Amino acid sequence: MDKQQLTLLLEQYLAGKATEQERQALFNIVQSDPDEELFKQMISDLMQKESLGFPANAEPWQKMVQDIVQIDKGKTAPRKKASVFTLYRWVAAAAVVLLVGAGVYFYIDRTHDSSLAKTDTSSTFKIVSTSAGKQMELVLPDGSHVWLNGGSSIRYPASFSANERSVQLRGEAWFDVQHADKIPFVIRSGPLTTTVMGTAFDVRAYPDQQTMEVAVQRGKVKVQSGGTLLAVLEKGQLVKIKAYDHSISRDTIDISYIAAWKQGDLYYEDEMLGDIIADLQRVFNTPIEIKRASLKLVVTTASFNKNTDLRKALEVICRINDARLSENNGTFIIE
Amino acid sequence: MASNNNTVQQGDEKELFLQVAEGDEKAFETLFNVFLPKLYPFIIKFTKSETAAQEIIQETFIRVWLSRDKLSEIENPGGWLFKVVSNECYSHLRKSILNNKFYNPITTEPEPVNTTHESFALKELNRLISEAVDQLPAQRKKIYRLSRDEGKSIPEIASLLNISPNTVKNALVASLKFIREHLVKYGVIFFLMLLTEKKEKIFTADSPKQPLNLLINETARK
Repeated sequence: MDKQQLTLLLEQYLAGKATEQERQALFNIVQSDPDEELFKQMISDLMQKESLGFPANAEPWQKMVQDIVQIDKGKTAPRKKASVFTLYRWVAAAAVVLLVGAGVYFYIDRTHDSSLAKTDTSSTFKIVSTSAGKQMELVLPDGSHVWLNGGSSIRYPASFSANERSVQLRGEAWFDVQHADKIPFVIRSGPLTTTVMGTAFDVRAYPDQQTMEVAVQRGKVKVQSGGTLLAVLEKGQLVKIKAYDHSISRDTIDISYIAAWKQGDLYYEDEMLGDIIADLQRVFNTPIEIKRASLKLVVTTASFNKNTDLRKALEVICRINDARLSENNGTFIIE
Repeated sequence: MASNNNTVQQGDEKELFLQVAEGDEKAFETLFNVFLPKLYPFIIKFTKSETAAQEIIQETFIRVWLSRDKLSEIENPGGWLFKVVSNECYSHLRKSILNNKFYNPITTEPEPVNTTHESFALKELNRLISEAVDQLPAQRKKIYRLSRDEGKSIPEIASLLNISPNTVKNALVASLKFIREHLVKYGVIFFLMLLTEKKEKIFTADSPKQPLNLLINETARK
């Protein structure tokens, strides 16, 4: 990378004077794996040269800084007595009675002495996790079914409260929710909140993937980010949310594709290769490395049925993206 | 805090960072007001978007606040902050290039000032942090609450609980670390980035592991 040329391009771009060609040239450099450290250093240098400037409206900024220092305070007055936590850990054998299905998992039961807490009704939580390549079906206290995909975990109370059925998901799961009048079922996954009454749908929100997704197989689902309503979905609709900027796109989906992973099928539509590979690693529990970073960002559509082996799948993906596949000590390498 | 503090020199910056490291909210406000005019114009030019600039500012300062215990180690605070922001700017550029190329090409149109995402993110963060604090061992939780909710200083907490100020300090450091780990575990990784993680490793070696922490870590790793 030519440092002087890049500085020039950057300066033109910052000044808003770059021609379309210059803009493209800059973007191409950014995309083609530049020396990141050098690039960031240049940005930092240019930033320090910039003269001071004050945002037009100071008020929202003062609110922002006030809000930031509040984030690590408790919402309510501190309790006089601290709760006591007792930990139980149950291994697979003990939990099998409760949980139908296969999979290697851990079951953590966290109880705290509720006599010390104020009116904490959600004193006991269960966390169920699947390892990569494993799936598991479980039944929640209200009779709703959850099918947990590999490398995911779900946290839910031993008994739901009277006005909300709330669970926390990390990763991907398909839900078949029992209808209960006026008691919404709420799934929190990272920044996403999905609220339903009684329906079947899939939520995908792996922390290491760029795109979160909710797809509805039956019924009606509301997807929110905090107070912001992102989408109300009906049968056969899906919404994709990009983790980094919360931009959303809506689409329709053949309902037979929803949670295809439950049948062992893999279906990716317009997903970034990095996300697809992350998913394949989870499904096949085999390390896969993408050597060329720009490849991770290529948007790809591919589907495989359950009998495809990993090598075949990767060969297809490499062919589509003009990449090369090799194997080294059990690790697949894409470059 | 008034923004007429923008003339602080580097020595003062260092002092400011040390105060923030102690959990001083006023010092943090000053820090914010000193650096905002230095960072904001550039970020606007770089991202060509007010919303993006706001997000970058907010995420940067959330990260600074939640990593405040590390600030005392930083030799050149100003330079460090510029680095953090340039990191954010770079990843923003990469992501928007990708967006423009593969999704609907967005023309650079002026956007309304929007605080919805921000307030949501803060609320969710607050909830996750409370959750983490609830999982702290009794004594640590008490110290943390006294410090954050009741605004007590380290010496005040020490004399109140009849322990040494160092014990209080260590407890606060360990609690912050636990909070950060909790946020990462629940996928709020976009708030805490590598710059703090590198140093984190030095801390894991000597910090005592709590039982709950261990268990959850194990589950997460499997």
